[in-house]
Amino acid sequence: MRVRKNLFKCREATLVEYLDGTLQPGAKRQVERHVLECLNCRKGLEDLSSTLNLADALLPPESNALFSGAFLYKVRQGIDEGKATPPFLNWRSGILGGLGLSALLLWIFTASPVDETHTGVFSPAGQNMAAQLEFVALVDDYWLETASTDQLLSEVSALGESRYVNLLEAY
Amino acid sequence: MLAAENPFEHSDGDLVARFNCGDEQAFNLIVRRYQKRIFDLVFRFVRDFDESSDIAQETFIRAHAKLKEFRGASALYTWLYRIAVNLSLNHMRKKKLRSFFSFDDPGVEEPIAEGGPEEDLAAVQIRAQVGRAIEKLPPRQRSIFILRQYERLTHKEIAAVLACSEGSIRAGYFHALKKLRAMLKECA
Repeated sequence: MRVRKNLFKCREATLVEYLDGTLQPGAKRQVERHVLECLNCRKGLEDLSSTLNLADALLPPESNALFSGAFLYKVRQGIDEGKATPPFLNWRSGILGGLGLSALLLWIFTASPVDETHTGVFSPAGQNMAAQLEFVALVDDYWLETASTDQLLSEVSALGESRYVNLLEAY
Repeated sequence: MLAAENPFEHSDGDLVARFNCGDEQAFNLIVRRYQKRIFDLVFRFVRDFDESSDIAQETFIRAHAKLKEFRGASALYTWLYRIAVNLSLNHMRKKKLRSFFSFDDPGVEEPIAEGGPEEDLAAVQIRAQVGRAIEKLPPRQRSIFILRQYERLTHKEIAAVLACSEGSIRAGYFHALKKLRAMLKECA
């Protein structure tokens, strides 16, 4: 009785659990009985089921060629290259990257306006592509390895450039 | 002979123990054992063969560096999945950042797994649409859906991979499926 009540209360969640195969046998039988007499639930179950069938169409590629020795060779190569890098280079390059980013952000924010008519795209006028690419690489490193999104935002906010804060928040 | 060892005839625990005793061959067996699963998992996120291959390799490189710290609190594959999922999500975030800053051409469709040339165009389009719909899910829901739907992990295993409760996995799967249903309505 309780399951039946719940079935009406959170029908979709129960149907998803039914399709997911995580319902207890008793609850599962109850769903099966219920959908026979409830058109809405039957339709809902069909919809969810066809969504899962569509999702199953997304197959990974045939990758036999990849999984020969070449894959392992590249992994070993990566491991060896990692061992060859002295650990101090990692934190040192992190600090240098952070300083570089700060300098670059400062330079961009004080020297070049943003094209605000171009929504969603960061395109500081007057900069060459190399500098822009460098900027993106530094933001990548800063964001993904050195700091969190919140830290990045607070860093940018501290520079007092709301346009850039808005752009980053929009992202 | 070591080179002829079958990666599937040893337990994960044995291989980890051998590696911790300095046996690099044991790590090679771990790679051979899980490379296909990790590649397939990453491909579900990234949908690009070369990028998936790079990320799958990076997963094992990171695992090699950290394996000595692995205490066996979770299964080895759960641990590897965790690294692979994090790397994939980071990669996608990075990619999104680049396209946001307009250096990647956003108009170019990413290639998806293709069948033979004779393959039905509609099937290819459906797969592309499904791939895009999954990509639009928030990262956590996307991870939950991929690990549940394609990797067939239990809720408990997914909770271990994503370091969250089983309840949140159930809720995440429910919301992911609802969103996918809405996005794929016309496709169905």
